[in-house]
Amino acid sequence: MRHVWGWMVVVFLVLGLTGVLCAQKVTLNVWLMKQAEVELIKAQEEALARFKELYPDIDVKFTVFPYNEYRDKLLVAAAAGNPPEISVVDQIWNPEFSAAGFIIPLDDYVAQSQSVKRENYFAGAWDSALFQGKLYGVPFDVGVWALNYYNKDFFRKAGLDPEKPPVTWDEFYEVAQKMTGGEQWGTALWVGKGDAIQCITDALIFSNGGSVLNADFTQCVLDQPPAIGAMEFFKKLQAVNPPGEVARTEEDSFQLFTAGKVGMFWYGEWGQDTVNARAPEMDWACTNFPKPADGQSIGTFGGWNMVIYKNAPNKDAAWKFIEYWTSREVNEKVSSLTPANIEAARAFLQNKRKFSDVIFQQLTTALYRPIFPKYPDLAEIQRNATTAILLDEKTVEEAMKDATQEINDLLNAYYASR
Amino acid sequence: MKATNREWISGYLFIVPSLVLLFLLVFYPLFLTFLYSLYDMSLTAVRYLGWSGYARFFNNKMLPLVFRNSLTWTLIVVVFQFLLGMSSALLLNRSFPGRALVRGLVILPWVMPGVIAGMVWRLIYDPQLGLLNHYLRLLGIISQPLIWLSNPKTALYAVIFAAIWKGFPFSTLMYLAGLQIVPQELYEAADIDGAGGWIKFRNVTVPSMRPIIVTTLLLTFIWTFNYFELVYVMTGGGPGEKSHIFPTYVYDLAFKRFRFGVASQFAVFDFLFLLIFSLFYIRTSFKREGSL
Amino acid sequence: MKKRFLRYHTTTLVFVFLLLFFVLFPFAVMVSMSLKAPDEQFTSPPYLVPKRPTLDNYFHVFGRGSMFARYFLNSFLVASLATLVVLVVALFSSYGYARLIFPGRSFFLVLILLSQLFPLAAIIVPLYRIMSTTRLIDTYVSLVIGYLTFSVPVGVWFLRGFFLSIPKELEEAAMIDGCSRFQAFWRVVVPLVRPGVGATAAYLFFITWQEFMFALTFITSETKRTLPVGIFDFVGQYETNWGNLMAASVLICVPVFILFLFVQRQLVGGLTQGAVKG
Repeated sequence: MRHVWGWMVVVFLVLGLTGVLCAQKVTLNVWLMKQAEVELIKAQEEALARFKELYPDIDVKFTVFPYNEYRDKLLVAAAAGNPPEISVVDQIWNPEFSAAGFIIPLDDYVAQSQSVKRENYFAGAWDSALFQGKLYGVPFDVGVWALNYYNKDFFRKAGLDPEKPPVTWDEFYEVAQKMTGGEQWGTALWVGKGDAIQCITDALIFSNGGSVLNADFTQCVLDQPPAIGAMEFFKKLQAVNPPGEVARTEEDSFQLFTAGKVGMFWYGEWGQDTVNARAPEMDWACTNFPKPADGQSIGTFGGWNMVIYKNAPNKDAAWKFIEYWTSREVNEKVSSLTPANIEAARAFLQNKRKFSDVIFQQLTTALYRPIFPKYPDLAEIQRNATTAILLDEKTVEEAMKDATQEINDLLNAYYASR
Repeated sequence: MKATNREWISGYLFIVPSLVLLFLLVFYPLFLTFLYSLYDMSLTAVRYLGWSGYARFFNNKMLPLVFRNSLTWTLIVVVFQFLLGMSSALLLNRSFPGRALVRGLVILPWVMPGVIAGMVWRLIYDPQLGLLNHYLRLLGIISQPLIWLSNPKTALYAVIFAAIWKGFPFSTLMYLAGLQIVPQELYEAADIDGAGGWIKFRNVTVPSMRPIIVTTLLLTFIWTFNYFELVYVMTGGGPGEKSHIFPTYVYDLAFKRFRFGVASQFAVFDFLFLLIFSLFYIRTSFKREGSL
Repeated sequence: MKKRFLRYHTTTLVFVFLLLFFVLFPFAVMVSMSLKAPDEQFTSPPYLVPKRPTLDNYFHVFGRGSMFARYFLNSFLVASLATLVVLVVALFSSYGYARLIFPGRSFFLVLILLSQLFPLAAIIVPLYRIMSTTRLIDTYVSLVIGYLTFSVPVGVWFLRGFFLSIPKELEEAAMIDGCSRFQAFWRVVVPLVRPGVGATAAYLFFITWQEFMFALTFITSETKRTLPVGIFDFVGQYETNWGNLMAASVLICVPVFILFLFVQRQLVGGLTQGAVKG
């Protein structure tokens, strides 16, 4: 009798254990960028809780990083073979990660999905995740460079109508000239240290009908008239901006705007919270990025895409999370930048941003930066050219020709080694 | 004989843990660094170069820049920390009301974590909205704001000033303690000879404090040469890599560009330079006086 | 006489004031920014004293979603562990170097000295790879081990100075009375060197508390980050939250200041002893 009881205990134990093992949870490690807002964190927690109800077998763990070390940590982890299952990557890193084979193409998942379809997301953001014909990421949130923030008091002081901000490049320059005098200027230029300045110069080039690289990203076209014209306009603005533009960062320059030293400033839509916090009394507004007389107002996309890593043991679970997180209801609540999901973006902009129609307009027309795995090197060449132009070390034409040469060398070297 | 043997064994037993740790954690990794410096190592590939790798290293454009920056940075900081430290020690050696409190306060910069000091000084150096430029303009010293940290010509010097501020209290502490050791009789003898303040300082104070001065200078030289935090936080080695010193450049090469081989080469150079310098320094001081 | 006395004292006070201004100005900036709301932080012209001081920044630092308290604990944990291990190791080693004669003693002593002169940058790459391969990366252990690299030599050097200042006769008397070397060490000398141990512990805690390079490289997860690294949470992609950053900075500095005030005298003694007996 005792033996039978003993065996039954063993059998139950074994069954119990197998049961536990079968119900074994899948853990998804998700790496994200740091969020600071308290409501956002609460929204994230609520969204996660709902996800758990939908998929009780999937355990999601967030790790959050500050921007300055995020890319380095991702690259090191991926190269060492222990990346997270999912992460957001900056749009401009997507090609690099794709080319290195760290992340997987998602076309099959997209084909089967009901909600993740190109038409539901901003085209410029969706296409930034394409690499050699395949889709390597799903856009999560976006930003656009740039809106034209302007201080209405500057307009009044210059005798201009504050409800009629400049639309074309020539108008922008004239208005800036009228605002410049004493310790105040029309606008602030900057170069800084990071990649962001290319967003501004690229936007000028796009608006002028030009481009950085050709359509299949094999050749640089910065020495063409549209690009040169754009940079000449940029150079022209130097006269109506406070000195020290090369060293200034975008943060420094935006502070000049909020402190009331410059009247107009090109910045992304996320800056609205900052203006409200730093200059609650200012009478300000946002309008479209200025365009050349015969061009369009086109901005540059910035933003973050969600990607799945090659080493992820359970990619289906990872996809489920991405589908959920970029869906219309969730995306609106958990992103700090504008959601990449178009409907979510509409709701988000209505609730959280002023001049939402302007922003929405810019988001639909904005273009993404060149798809090139070594984009940071390309950006550096562009930045050096911009610096040389501002410091009068080269004329615009010289700088752009030299940059084109260098970028072509970079492109050729890369493609030759593939 | 037996007694001495036992002492030897006890001696080794006592020091073994520290030696084991040192070899495992310091000398072995150091050996590995030497090894890595002979390879071209990145995140994905490893390729043996041997000594030819060093030929490329000595042609590296950044080497003279980083070396020059490191020397400039270290020498200026050390000299001014000495001057400021010695003068404040002399000052704090006088008696005045609240002296104990002031002595406590003066140490604060040294105690502040380097990362935080870097951030605070960034605020002070902000070109348009920082207080330094504001006060300088109020005093009429400058008319246009200076872009301290983003101008390649001023960036390193701006950090140098912050480093002097941060580190000088250590020198103050050391020299203050040293001043207590100077025998009173020597001063009295000098007074009898009618010596003035400066003569007394030069002929009595400094020679008596020689051991402490020598040691403090060496310590501050080494610590400053190796100091990572301030440059990293304030300029990140920029603008355009113009303010890199050895520690920040090794970090940049290794963990931002993942070029472990080249990073190791710079690290080896850094270490050998300091080693040779320290040995040379100790030997000269040793020779000069007979004992440290 | 009186005139010179007065001049001497006024010049002293003037210089003391200048010194204090130089030393304390950055602290004033730090505290000032920590008490400012966003609309007062970057004004033209800038000013030091906030017109509407607020404690909001401090509340945010401890608020929801801030890992600050966690980072604080991590720093404390790692610094304490490292200090403890070093003290234990150094206590024995320094005694050996201070008291016992054995062949190679000077050689090893010079080794200890040399390893103090050492740039961390020179060993961070191999250490990182070792941690990576042994899967120790992103653990407290990796950080403690990393800290041992520079704190063991320092600890040994300090304590040796303290041991040297204790007269030999005390242990010798104990050993004549029949104690073994170890017993004499443990029962007679160690209690005497306690203040030195305290000062060394404080200094070791102080340097490990603020260490940045290893903490930045070895640790990835938020739950294990230490304060110097955690402070970068306030540095965003486009903007830095200076108010919160400075509030956090004030909070990080305070414990070290307090600790320092307590051990000030011992610490100075230790540093100078180490220097003189070097």
